Amino acid sequence: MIDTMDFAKQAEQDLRVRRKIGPSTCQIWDDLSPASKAAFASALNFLGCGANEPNGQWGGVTDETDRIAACRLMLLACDLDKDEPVWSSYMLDRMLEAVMQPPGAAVGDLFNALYDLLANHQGAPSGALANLIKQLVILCFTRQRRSYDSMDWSRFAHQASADATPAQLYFLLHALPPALVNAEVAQAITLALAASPFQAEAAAALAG
Amino acid sequence: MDAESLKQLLEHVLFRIERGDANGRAFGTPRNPRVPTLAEFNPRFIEIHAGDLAAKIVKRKHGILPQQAQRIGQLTNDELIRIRVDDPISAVEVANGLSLTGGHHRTHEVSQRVLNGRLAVDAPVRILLHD
Repeated sequence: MIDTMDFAKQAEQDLRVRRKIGPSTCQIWDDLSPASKAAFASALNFLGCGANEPNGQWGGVTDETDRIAACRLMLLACDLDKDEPVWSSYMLDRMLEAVMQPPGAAVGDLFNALYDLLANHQGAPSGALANLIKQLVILCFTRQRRSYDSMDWSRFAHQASADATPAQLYFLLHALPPALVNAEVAQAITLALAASPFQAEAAAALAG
Repeated sequence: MDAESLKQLLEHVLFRIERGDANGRAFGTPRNPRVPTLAEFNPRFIEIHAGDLAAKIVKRKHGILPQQAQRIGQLTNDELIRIRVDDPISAVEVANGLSLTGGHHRTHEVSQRVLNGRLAVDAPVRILLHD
Protein backbone atom coordinates (compact mmCIF):
# COMPACT_ATOMS: atom_id res chain seq x y z
CA MET A 1 0.00 0.00 0.00
CA ILE A 2 1.40 3.43 -0.94
CA ASP A 3 1.88 6.22 1.58
CA THR A 4 -0.99 8.72 1.37
CA MET A 5 1.19 11.79 1.61
CA ASP A 6 3.43 10.54 -1.21
CA PHE A 7 0.32 10.18 -3.32
CA ALA A 8 -0.86 13.69 -2.36
CA LYS A 9 2.56 15.14 -3.21
CA GLN A 10 2.56 13.52 -6.63
CA ALA A 11 -0.99 14.72 -7.33
CA GLU A 12 -0.04 18.22 -6.22
CA GLN A 13 3.00 18.17 -8.46
CA ASP A 14 0.80 17.12 -11.39
CA LEU A 15 -1.52 20.05 -10.75
CA ARG A 16 1.26 22.60 -10.32
CA VAL A 17 3.05 21.54 -13.50
CA ARG A 18 0.36 20.23 -15.85
CA ARG A 19 -2.76 21.71 -14.22
CA LYS A 20 -4.37 18.27 -14.13
CA ILE A 21 -3.92 14.91 -12.45
CA GLY A 22 -1.96 12.45 -14.58
CA PRO A 23 -3.20 8.91 -15.31
CA SER A 24 -0.36 7.33 -13.31
CA THR A 25 -1.39 9.33 -10.23
CA CYS A 26 -4.99 8.23 -10.69
CA GLN A 27 -3.75 4.64 -10.72
CA ILE A 28 -1.77 5.13 -7.53
CA TRP A 29 -4.97 6.23 -5.79
CA ASP A 30 -6.21 2.66 -6.27
CA ASP A 31 -3.38 1.40 -4.04
CA LEU A 32 -4.21 3.63 -1.09
CA SER A 33 -5.81 2.23 2.06
CA PRO A 34 -9.63 2.09 1.80
CA ALA A 35 -10.01 4.99 4.26
CA SER A 36 -7.58 7.17 2.29
CA LYS A 37 -9.22 6.21 -0.97
CA ALA A 38 -12.53 7.38 0.47
CA ALA A 39 -10.99 10.67 1.63
CA PHE A 40 -9.65 11.43 -1.86
CA ALA A 41 -12.37 9.87 -4.05
CA SER A 42 -14.67 12.88 -4.44
CA ALA A 43 -11.71 15.23 -4.96
CA LEU A 44 -10.32 13.01 -7.70
CA ASN A 45 -13.72 12.82 -9.35
CA PHE A 46 -13.88 16.61 -9.19
CA LEU A 47 -10.44 16.68 -10.82
CA GLY A 48 -11.55 14.34 -13.60
CA CYS A 49 -10.01 11.07 -12.47
CA GLY A 50 -13.19 8.99 -12.35
CA ALA A 51 -12.43 7.40 -8.99
CA ASN A 52 -14.96 4.97 -7.53
CA GLU A 53 -15.43 5.14 -3.79
CA PRO A 54 -14.51 2.02 -1.79
CA ASN A 55 -17.42 -0.06 -0.58
CA GLY A 56 -17.44 1.01 3.07
CA GLN A 57 -16.01 -2.16 4.60
CA TRP A 58 -13.27 -0.03 6.13
CA GLY A 59 -15.61 1.38 8.78
CA GLY A 60 -16.58 4.68 7.26
CA VAL A 61 -14.00 6.91 8.95
CA THR A 62 -11.66 9.20 7.02
CA ASP A 63 -8.63 10.99 8.37
CA GLU A 64 -8.78 14.78 8.61
CA THR A 65 -5.22 15.09 7.27
CA ASP A 66 -6.22 13.14 4.15
CA ARG A 67 -9.36 15.23 3.64
CA ILE A 68 -7.37 18.47 3.97
CA ALA A 69 -4.84 17.17 1.43
CA ALA A 70 -7.73 16.34 -0.92
CA CYS A 71 -9.14 19.87 -0.51
CA ARG A 72 -5.70 21.27 -1.24
CA LEU A 73 -5.72 19.49 -4.60
CA MET A 74 -9.12 20.93 -5.49
CA LEU A 75 -7.99 24.44 -4.59
CA LEU A 76 -4.90 24.04 -6.75
CA ALA A 77 -7.26 23.31 -9.65
CA CYS A 78 -8.35 26.97 -9.23
CA ASP A 79 -4.69 28.02 -9.70
CA LEU A 80 -4.51 29.01 -6.06
CA ASP A 81 -0.74 28.67 -6.31
CA LYS A 82 -0.79 31.72 -8.58
CA ASP A 83 -1.61 35.35 -7.90
CA GLU A 84 -4.64 35.30 -10.20
CA PRO A 85 -6.75 32.22 -9.47
CA VAL A 86 -9.50 31.24 -11.89
CA TRP A 87 -12.84 29.63 -11.14
CA SER A 88 -16.53 29.67 -11.94
CA SER A 89 -19.54 29.55 -9.63
CA TYR A 90 -20.40 26.19 -11.21
CA MET A 91 -16.96 24.90 -10.31
CA LEU A 92 -17.14 26.15 -6.72
CA ASP A 93 -20.57 24.55 -6.24
CA ARG A 94 -19.16 21.22 -7.41
CA MET A 95 -16.07 21.69 -5.27
CA LEU A 96 -18.11 22.23 -2.10
CA GLU A 97 -20.14 19.11 -2.88
CA ALA A 98 -16.90 17.16 -3.25
CA VAL A 99 -15.48 18.65 -0.03
CA MET A 100 -18.50 17.51 1.98
CA GLN A 101 -18.75 14.04 0.47
CA PRO A 102 -16.18 11.94 2.43
CA PRO A 103 -17.41 10.49 5.72
CA GLY A 104 -16.65 12.95 8.51
CA ALA A 105 -16.05 15.85 6.13
CA ALA A 106 -16.49 19.45 7.30
CA VAL A 107 -15.98 22.90 5.82
CA GLY A 108 -12.98 23.13 8.12
CA ASP A 109 -11.17 20.71 5.80
CA LEU A 110 -11.45 23.23 3.00
CA PHE A 111 -10.55 26.20 5.19
CA ASN A 112 -7.47 24.46 6.61
CA ALA A 113 -6.29 23.71 3.08
CA LEU A 114 -7.06 27.25 1.96
CA TYR A 115 -5.26 28.82 4.91
CA ASP A 116 -2.15 26.73 4.30
CA LEU A 117 -2.05 27.62 0.59
CA LEU A 118 -2.53 31.31 1.38
CA ALA A 119 0.72 31.19 3.34
CA ASN A 120 2.50 31.23 -0.03
CA HIS A 121 0.98 34.59 -1.01
CA GLN A 122 3.29 37.08 0.65
CA GLY A 123 1.97 40.40 -0.62
CA ALA A 124 -1.51 41.90 -0.53
CA PRO A 125 -3.95 39.55 -2.27
CA SER A 126 -4.87 40.33 -5.86
CA GLY A 127 -8.50 41.27 -6.56
CA ALA A 128 -9.15 37.82 -8.01
CA LEU A 129 -7.63 36.08 -4.99
CA ALA A 130 -9.61 38.24 -2.54
CA ASN A 131 -12.79 37.55 -4.51
CA LEU A 132 -12.17 33.80 -4.38
CA ILE A 133 -11.49 33.89 -0.64
CA LYS A 134 -14.68 35.84 0.07
CA GLN A 135 -16.70 33.68 -2.32
CA LEU A 136 -15.58 30.49 -0.53
CA VAL A 137 -16.48 31.94 2.87
CA ILE A 138 -19.95 33.02 1.69
CA LEU A 139 -20.54 29.69 -0.06
CA CYS A 140 -19.61 27.61 2.99
CA PHE A 141 -21.39 29.91 5.44
CA THR A 142 -24.65 30.01 3.49
CA ARG A 143 -24.75 26.43 2.16
CA GLN A 144 -23.12 24.46 5.00
CA ARG A 145 -24.08 26.53 8.00
CA ARG A 146 -24.23 23.68 10.50
CA SER A 147 -20.75 22.54 9.59
CA TYR A 148 -19.50 26.15 9.62
CA ASP A 149 -20.97 26.83 13.07
CA SER A 150 -19.57 23.64 14.54
CA MET A 151 -16.06 24.36 13.34
CA ASP A 152 -13.28 24.95 15.86
CA TRP A 153 -11.93 28.34 14.80
CA SER A 154 -9.49 28.67 17.69
CA ARG A 155 -6.51 27.45 15.63
CA PHE A 156 -7.11 30.24 13.14
CA ALA A 157 -7.68 32.89 15.81
CA HIS A 158 -4.40 31.94 17.47
CA GLN A 159 -2.51 32.13 14.18
CA ALA A 160 -3.77 35.59 13.33
CA SER A 161 -0.55 37.36 14.12
CA ALA A 162 2.18 39.34 12.45
CA ASP A 163 3.45 36.08 10.95
CA ALA A 164 0.28 35.49 8.95
CA THR A 165 0.25 36.69 5.35
CA PRO A 166 -2.13 39.46 4.23
CA ALA A 167 -4.11 36.88 2.23
CA GLN A 168 -4.51 34.69 5.33
CA LEU A 169 -5.64 37.70 7.34
CA TYR A 170 -8.06 38.76 4.60
CA PHE A 171 -9.56 35.26 4.90
CA LEU A 172 -9.83 35.61 8.68
CA LEU A 173 -11.41 39.06 8.33
CA HIS A 174 -14.41 37.49 6.64
CA ALA A 175 -14.39 33.95 8.03
CA LEU A 176 -13.78 34.29 11.76
CA PRO A 177 -16.81 34.53 14.02
CA PRO A 178 -16.75 38.10 15.45
CA ALA A 179 -16.52 36.80 19.01
CA LEU A 180 -13.04 35.45 18.24
CA VAL A 181 -11.76 38.69 16.76
CA ASN A 182 -10.08 40.22 19.79
CA ALA A 183 -8.00 43.41 19.75
CA GLU A 184 -4.84 41.51 18.82
CA VAL A 185 -6.47 39.78 15.85
CA ALA A 186 -8.10 43.01 14.70
CA GLN A 187 -4.77 44.81 14.86
CA ALA A 188 -3.01 42.09 12.86
CA ILE A 189 -5.69 42.31 10.15
CA THR A 190 -5.64 46.11 10.11
CA LEU A 191 -1.86 46.29 9.82
CA ALA A 192 -1.63 43.60 7.16
CA LEU A 193 -4.25 45.22 4.94
CA ALA A 194 -3.19 48.85 5.54
CA ALA A 195 -2.27 50.62 2.29
CA SER A 196 -3.85 47.79 0.30
CA PRO A 197 -7.05 48.01 -1.78
CA PHE A 198 -8.78 46.22 1.10
CA GLN A 199 -8.02 48.75 3.82
CA ALA A 200 -11.48 50.36 3.80
CA GLU A 201 -13.19 46.97 3.57
CA ALA A 202 -11.27 45.75 6.62
CA ALA A 203 -11.98 48.91 8.60
CA ALA A 204 -15.70 48.72 7.86
CA ALA A 205 -15.94 45.04 8.73
CA LEU A 206 -13.99 45.37 11.95
CA ALA A 207 -15.96 48.43 13.05
CA GLY A 208 -19.30 46.69 12.58
CA MET B 1 -37.79 40.06 -17.05
CA ASP B 2 -40.81 41.37 -15.17
CA ALA B 3 -41.04 42.49 -11.55
CA GLU B 4 -42.40 39.11 -10.44
CA SER B 5 -39.46 37.27 -11.98
CA LEU B 6 -37.04 39.65 -10.35
CA LYS B 7 -38.57 38.74 -6.99
CA GLN B 8 -37.76 35.11 -7.76
CA LEU B 9 -34.04 35.72 -8.02
CA LEU B 10 -32.41 32.96 -6.08
CA GLU B 11 -30.64 33.61 -2.82
CA HIS B 12 -27.21 32.82 -4.23
CA VAL B 13 -27.73 35.48 -6.89
CA LEU B 14 -28.57 38.05 -4.21
CA PHE B 15 -25.23 37.27 -2.55
CA ARG B 16 -23.53 38.76 -5.60
CA ILE B 17 -24.28 42.15 -4.03
CA GLU B 18 -21.13 44.25 -3.99
CA ARG B 19 -21.88 46.67 -1.25
CA GLY B 20 -22.18 45.40 2.29
CA ASP B 21 -24.84 46.35 4.81
CA ALA B 22 -25.15 49.84 6.26
CA ASN B 23 -21.87 49.26 8.09
CA GLY B 24 -20.09 47.91 5.03
CA ARG B 25 -20.03 44.30 6.23
CA ALA B 26 -20.27 41.62 3.55
CA PHE B 27 -23.56 39.70 3.43
CA GLY B 28 -23.56 35.95 4.03
CA THR B 29 -20.62 35.99 6.44
CA PRO B 30 -20.41 35.57 10.22
CA ARG B 31 -20.33 39.36 10.68
CA ASN B 32 -23.50 39.80 8.64
CA PRO B 33 -25.28 36.47 8.21
CA ARG B 34 -28.42 37.68 6.50
CA VAL B 35 -29.48 37.58 2.87
CA PRO B 36 -29.63 41.02 1.25
CA THR B 37 -33.16 42.25 0.63
CA LEU B 38 -34.35 42.81 -2.93
CA ALA B 39 -34.33 46.55 -2.19
CA GLU B 40 -30.69 46.38 -1.11
CA PHE B 41 -29.80 44.30 -4.15
CA ASN B 42 -31.68 46.79 -6.36
CA PRO B 43 -31.93 44.61 -9.50
CA ARG B 44 -32.65 46.09 -12.95
CA PHE B 45 -31.94 44.91 -16.48
CA ILE B 46 -30.09 46.60 -19.29
CA GLU B 47 -29.53 45.37 -22.83
CA ILE B 48 -26.17 45.66 -24.54
CA HIS B 49 -25.25 44.73 -28.08
CA ALA B 50 -22.93 41.72 -28.17
CA GLY B 51 -20.41 43.77 -30.13
CA ASP B 52 -20.22 46.40 -27.38
CA LEU B 53 -19.86 43.98 -24.51
CA ALA B 54 -16.07 43.59 -24.41
CA ALA B 55 -15.49 47.35 -24.23
CA LYS B 56 -18.23 47.86 -21.68
CA ILE B 57 -16.84 45.36 -19.16
CA VAL B 58 -13.95 47.02 -17.37
CA LYS B 59 -13.59 44.77 -14.35
CA ARG B 60 -14.07 41.07 -13.57
CA LYS B 61 -14.08 38.98 -10.42
CA HIS B 62 -11.86 36.31 -11.93
CA GLY B 63 -10.24 35.01 -15.08
CA ILE B 64 -11.36 32.29 -17.45
CA LEU B 65 -11.19 28.63 -16.52
CA PRO B 66 -10.32 26.58 -19.64
CA GLN B 67 -12.61 23.63 -18.78
CA GLN B 68 -15.57 25.93 -18.13
CA ALA B 69 -14.83 27.92 -21.29
CA GLN B 70 -14.92 24.66 -23.24
CA ARG B 71 -18.31 23.75 -21.71
CA ILE B 72 -19.75 27.18 -22.48
CA GLY B 73 -18.32 27.00 -25.99
CA GLN B 74 -20.73 24.18 -26.75
CA LEU B 75 -23.84 26.32 -26.14
CA THR B 76 -25.85 27.63 -29.05
CA ASN B 77 -26.04 31.39 -29.51
CA ASP B 78 -29.55 31.40 -28.06
CA GLU B 79 -28.47 29.40 -25.03
CA LEU B 80 -25.49 31.67 -24.58
CA ILE B 81 -27.40 34.95 -24.35
CA ARG B 82 -30.63 33.64 -22.85
CA ILE B 83 -31.44 35.06 -19.38
CA ARG B 84 -30.98 32.48 -16.67
CA VAL B 85 -32.81 33.43 -13.48
CA ASP B 86 -30.65 30.95 -11.55
CA ASP B 87 -27.43 32.40 -12.91
CA PRO B 88 -27.90 35.66 -14.84
CA ILE B 89 -25.08 37.60 -16.43
CA SER B 90 -24.77 40.31 -13.80
CA ALA B 91 -22.73 43.41 -13.10
CA VAL B 92 -22.35 46.52 -11.03
CA GLU B 93 -22.08 49.92 -12.72
CA VAL B 94 -18.73 51.60 -12.16
CA ALA B 95 -17.35 54.92 -13.36
CA ASN B 96 -16.35 53.90 -16.89
CA GLY B 97 -18.38 50.76 -17.52
CA LEU B 98 -19.44 47.55 -15.85
CA SER B 99 -17.81 45.44 -13.18
CA LEU B 100 -18.90 41.90 -13.91
CA THR B 101 -20.23 39.83 -10.99
CA GLY B 102 -21.64 36.81 -12.85
CA GLY B 103 -21.53 35.22 -16.30
CA HIS B 104 -17.78 35.61 -16.82
CA HIS B 105 -17.44 32.65 -19.15
CA ARG B 106 -20.59 33.48 -21.12
CA THR B 107 -19.58 37.08 -21.73
CA HIS B 108 -16.11 35.92 -22.72
CA GLU B 109 -17.64 33.49 -25.20
CA VAL B 110 -19.99 36.19 -26.56
CA SER B 111 -17.00 38.42 -27.31
CA GLN B 112 -15.10 35.53 -28.91
CA ARG B 113 -18.04 34.70 -31.19
CA VAL B 114 -18.46 38.33 -32.21
CA LEU B 115 -14.77 38.46 -33.08
CA ASN B 116 -14.93 35.36 -35.28
CA GLY B 117 -18.29 36.27 -36.82
CA ARG B 118 -20.35 33.54 -35.19
CA LEU B 119 -22.60 35.99 -33.34
CA ALA B 120 -24.14 39.18 -34.74
CA VAL B 121 -22.68 42.37 -33.29
CA ASP B 122 -26.19 43.63 -32.59
CA ALA B 123 -27.37 40.48 -30.82
CA PRO B 124 -28.96 41.67 -27.56
CA VAL B 125 -27.32 40.57 -24.34
CA ARG B 126 -29.36 41.30 -21.22
CA ILE B 127 -27.44 42.04 -18.08
CA LEU B 128 -28.76 42.17 -14.54
CA LEU B 129 -27.43 45.29 -12.87
CA HIS B 130 -27.41 45.45 -9.10
CA ASP B 131 -25.88 47.36 -6.22
